[in-house]
Amino acid sequence: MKNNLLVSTIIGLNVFAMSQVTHASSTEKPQVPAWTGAALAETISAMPKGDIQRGQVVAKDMMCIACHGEQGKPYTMNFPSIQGQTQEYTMKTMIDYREGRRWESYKRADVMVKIAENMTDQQIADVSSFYAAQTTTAWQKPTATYEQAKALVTTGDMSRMVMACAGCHGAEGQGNGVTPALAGQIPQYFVRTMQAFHEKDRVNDVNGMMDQFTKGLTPEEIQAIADYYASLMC
Amino acid sequence: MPSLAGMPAEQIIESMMAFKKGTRPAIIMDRVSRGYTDDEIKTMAYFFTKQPLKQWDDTTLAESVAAQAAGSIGAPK
Amino acid sequence: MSQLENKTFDQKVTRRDLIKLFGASAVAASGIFGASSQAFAKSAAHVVILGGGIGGSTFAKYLRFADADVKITIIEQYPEYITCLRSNDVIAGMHTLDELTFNLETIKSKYHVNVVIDTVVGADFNKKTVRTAKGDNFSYDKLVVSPGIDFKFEDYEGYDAELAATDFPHAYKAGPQTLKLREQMLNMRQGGTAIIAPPQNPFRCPPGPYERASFFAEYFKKHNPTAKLIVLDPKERFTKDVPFKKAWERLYGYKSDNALIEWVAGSEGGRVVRLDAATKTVETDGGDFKADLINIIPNQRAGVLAQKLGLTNASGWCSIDRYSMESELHKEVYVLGDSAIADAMPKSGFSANSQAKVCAKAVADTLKGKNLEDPVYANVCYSLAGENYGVSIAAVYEVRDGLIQPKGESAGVSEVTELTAQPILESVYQKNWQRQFVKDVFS
Repeated sequence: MKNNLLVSTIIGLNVFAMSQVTHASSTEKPQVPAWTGAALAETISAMPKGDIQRGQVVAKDMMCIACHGEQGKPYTMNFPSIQGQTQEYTMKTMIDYREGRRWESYKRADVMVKIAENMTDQQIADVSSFYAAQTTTAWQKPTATYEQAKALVTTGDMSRMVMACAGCHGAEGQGNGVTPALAGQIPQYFVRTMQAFHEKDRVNDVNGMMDQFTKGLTPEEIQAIADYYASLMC
Repeated sequence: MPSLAGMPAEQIIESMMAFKKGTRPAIIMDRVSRGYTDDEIKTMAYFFTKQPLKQWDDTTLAESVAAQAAGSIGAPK
Repeated sequence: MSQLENKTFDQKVTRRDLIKLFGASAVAASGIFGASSQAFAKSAAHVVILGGGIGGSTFAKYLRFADADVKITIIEQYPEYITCLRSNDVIAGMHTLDELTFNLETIKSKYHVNVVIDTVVGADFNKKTVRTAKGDNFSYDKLVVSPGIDFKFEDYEGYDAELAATDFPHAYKAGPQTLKLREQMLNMRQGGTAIIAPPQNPFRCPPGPYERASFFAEYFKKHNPTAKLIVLDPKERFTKDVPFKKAWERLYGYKSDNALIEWVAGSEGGRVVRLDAATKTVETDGGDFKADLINIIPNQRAGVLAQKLGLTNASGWCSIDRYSMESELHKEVYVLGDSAIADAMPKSGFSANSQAKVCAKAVADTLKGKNLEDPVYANVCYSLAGENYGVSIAAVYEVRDGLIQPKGESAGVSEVTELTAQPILESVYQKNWQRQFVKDVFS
């Protein structure tokens, strides 16, 4: 069955044939312009008004609840908590998945990309308002590094250009508009998100701020901050 | 797919039980979970929880082929 | 979250337990279980594997996990292997054959397996040797045969291997025929008719013909909307037919006036008995069908090597001991994958992988003089009814009343629901599964 020369010849033909069929390709990362603050604000304000009741139906129909849980608290460490997340941030996330800003080398995000591609703006607004209406609960108990992390989160460390997380994400980690809530977030998810920002694998924030403001942090500090936020509720 | 390596055993066990009972919506795990006894599920959970935590240990098919050619897939990072 | 007691964490769980439990699936090859790098003991047993496809490659790797010292040799005909698995995607244009092509280099270097590229021409089960075309003899303590399938062209008047290699590709072993069939689909005239004729049971990849039919319909929908696909089936039902037909209704107007796809059961004249290549006509029990494209997927039997070695019974397949995959005809010879009669387990890559793990443990235990344990097998088959529409079948299996049967309440196909996300997620899971699976097999 294997005549290699024949195979490669025909593969050559095949590439030509494929170029005539334009698949809405699901394997290549689209080129999307990075967010500017103004463009993001405009996009979010152009979204329709969300409806909590309808959002609950969307969460079931699009099977959000299969991983993120009925109220946005995930079943396992793999998936972010979206319980009590700001409506604006969940909408932004879904738009980023849909438009290709949030692929994190596609194969890691393909579930969310496909789900987002199949949702309307109205569905996104509804489901985001549903999860925003849920109360945030803690994922874990405070750990030994709680106080150390709290100091970093509250005041930062200007000698290393580390900004105070609380400055944007809120004193209680409650978030603010398109700036996500971090209270109750899953620590494993938090850590890998920080890695993704530092490796420029994730670049869907405005002006690359997350990388700039946090690249002075050590891996131990990132873990401590992750555990700190995981223990908060609001 | 969610990585199981390093996942706390209770999360695996509770998820499998929820799939089994049908309280957690599933794509494939509803059927797979029903093939194992509670004891077997625990055995698996204890195995996976002891594996080093890996996140995003995933690649494209082309990368997988390239890595396979280079003999590097599966090697610890 | 749970009331689980900590003491249970101290239970010793080994990879061997896991192999036993899973039979298959994503038991990733983590470094801690890597093969011992120590040289093979001189007295170590020699296990020879014929066929380096999914069954053979998985077996070699998992035998190494189970036994650091055993000497392992794979004899494989071709330097590269193209998985049949996902080769329908090549027809649809979602993958290239290159992406489905694998070799045994990683298995060789990482698991200390001797890989021989040669053709086996015979075996002496008494002397326990196999002979190759290049004239080499290999003596074995255990022989494992994973030879895939062979086609029964004789069931169709006017159809043969030569026609399959030219104008009427069956494309049911991935390779040049796969590309040929794609080319035929792309070049079919507007408003033309295509025929896909699936085989009688049992055959490799039971959902394969129906996934292929779906891809044809999806292509026609986009690029040849007046074309039609007719599935001429010798059977009354097929695997996952309920979710498949639902998908065809939703996507391709199945059973409507504008249906892109029509399915003809055996009792309605679906069984193809003859091909007239010159006029591109197939004759069935129910009459003649003329078409622009004809894809007959022939009836099947165990791979040529299994026949040549005398491992098949009257059915054309290989009967095996359900606890070990050892041939019921020849001691110390094991048969894996599509060629084996595995009762309720379908002939799938997943099944071959699962059987290989069970067999690896059985061979390792037997070599160490241990008793065989009750095996657990598994199978999951994802198929696409459209690029973004997946359907699945799954089961975990055990040996019960002498047969491999579904364990617990595990056996089942995708439930047809009204949830928008379900078929989309099935299609994403399929792609994820494939990536993990080929790593489990070839790395």
